[in-house]
Amino acid sequence: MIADIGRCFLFCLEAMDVLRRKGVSRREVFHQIWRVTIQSLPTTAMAGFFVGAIMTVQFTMQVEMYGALGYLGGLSTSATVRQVGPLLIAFMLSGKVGAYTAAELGTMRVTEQIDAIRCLGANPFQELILPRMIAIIVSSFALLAAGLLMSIAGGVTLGIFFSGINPDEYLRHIPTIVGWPSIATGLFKCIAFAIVLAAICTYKGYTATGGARGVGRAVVQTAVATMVSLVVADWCTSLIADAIVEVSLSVFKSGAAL
Amino acid sequence: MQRLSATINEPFIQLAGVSLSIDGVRYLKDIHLAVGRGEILAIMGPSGEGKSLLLKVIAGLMEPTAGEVIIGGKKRSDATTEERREQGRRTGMLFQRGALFDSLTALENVSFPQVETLGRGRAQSDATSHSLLEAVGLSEAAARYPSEISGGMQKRLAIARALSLAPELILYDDPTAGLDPITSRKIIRLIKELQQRDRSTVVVVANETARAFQVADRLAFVFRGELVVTGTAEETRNHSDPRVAKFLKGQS
Repeated sequence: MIADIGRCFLFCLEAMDVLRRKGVSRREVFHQIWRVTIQSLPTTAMAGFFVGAIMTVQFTMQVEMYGALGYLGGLSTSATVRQVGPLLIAFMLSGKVGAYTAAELGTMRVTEQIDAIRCLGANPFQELILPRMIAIIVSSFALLAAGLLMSIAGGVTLGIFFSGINPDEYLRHIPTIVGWPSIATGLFKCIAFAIVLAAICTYKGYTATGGARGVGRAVVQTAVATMVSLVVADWCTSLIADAIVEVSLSVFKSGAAL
Repeated sequence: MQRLSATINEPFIQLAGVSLSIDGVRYLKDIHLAVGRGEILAIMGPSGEGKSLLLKVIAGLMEPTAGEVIIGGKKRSDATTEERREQGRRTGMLFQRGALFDSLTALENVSFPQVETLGRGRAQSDATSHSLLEAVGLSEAAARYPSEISGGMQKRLAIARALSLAPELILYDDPTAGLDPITSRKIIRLIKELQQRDRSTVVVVANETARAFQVADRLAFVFRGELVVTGTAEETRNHSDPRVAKFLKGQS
């Protein structure tokens, strides 16, 4: 497993080196962004809606106990932005785009299409790997935004029907509770998860061997490796993001005191 | 290895003591081979004995674990990245299963190397690709995807793509695999015609004896990763090595 992590790291370094030296086809990047976004948008939007709904149901009891129903929207949106949203988007992308990419590249590998690209004097990293990596990273932001909007919509809907809260009240405290630290944390996690997913699925697909069975194995390994890596990455990024926010706040406070 | 023919005019490909091991298993053993410029060499031998790997080593898709590959007088191990790229551009390869890009049409498959490798514009590359498709008899199929054409047409399309960069060296990995005898004959005739038209150097892996004799100037036999003998059709037909004799008689 450690050797595999090392090889995946070297694979990413090679991709970065090709990006630096040769760049990437913009047309292919846009095509992949469009494909990834369109492919994942409906499920991400639907999942986002229900995440907002679940958060609202979960938080209603707690905030009611303290007579703070007005903070429901802010709390549920904050939890979605900081924690559930990025992880959910990453899981959605892993299930749809990760598996698809690993299968696509794996099939190209076992049918010698990748060898053919090399043989024709082109670079598979430039033609296949980088456009997919960049697309997954860029699309995850668009999908995060869509997922968050839908989670707010889900929260508002459930807030009205389940908690008896009106939409204005639900939305009023979102800007005060969901500040820049929350948004920055969400974005930071989003990019970290997208990098993890992009690296694993392209690496597993690119290195697939052994015909149809090999492609199947690559897809399963992608699913397992991304799930485990995303949970580990969530823990790491939470620690890092909290530390950065804490340091930033203490610097801000000491600046204000002076 | 026993070389039967006399000398080769100006060798274009030279393999000097090439060996290849993967995960500790030795697939190619100390291969010495020279292919002359403008020559057609057929590599023959039983399946799974290293013929396709040998072709991939010549193409630069696999690095030999020992020995040297010299193409056009330039040692591959001494070549810079740009020189290797240039060597790659001058080498066309037909893969055993075609390796066509299934998301691209026939025309786009042939245009791909011109657009992506040479940076040509769409109009210029399409004009060249149309003439290549015409040369292999696929003008009508330009807008069709590989999955929409027959196996024989796919092979011809793959040949057109391999010729797209006007290579000096063309490698064919079992070009008649899975084709009926009539289509196989057409493919072999096409390979021969294109080679005579372009005066390119050709190495072809062939499993069918009749097709190999039909197309090649010289033949080379690979058994268990070793190059056993090279010579003309007449020389190999009368060769005393029992493995060659058995193979040519169709015995295992």
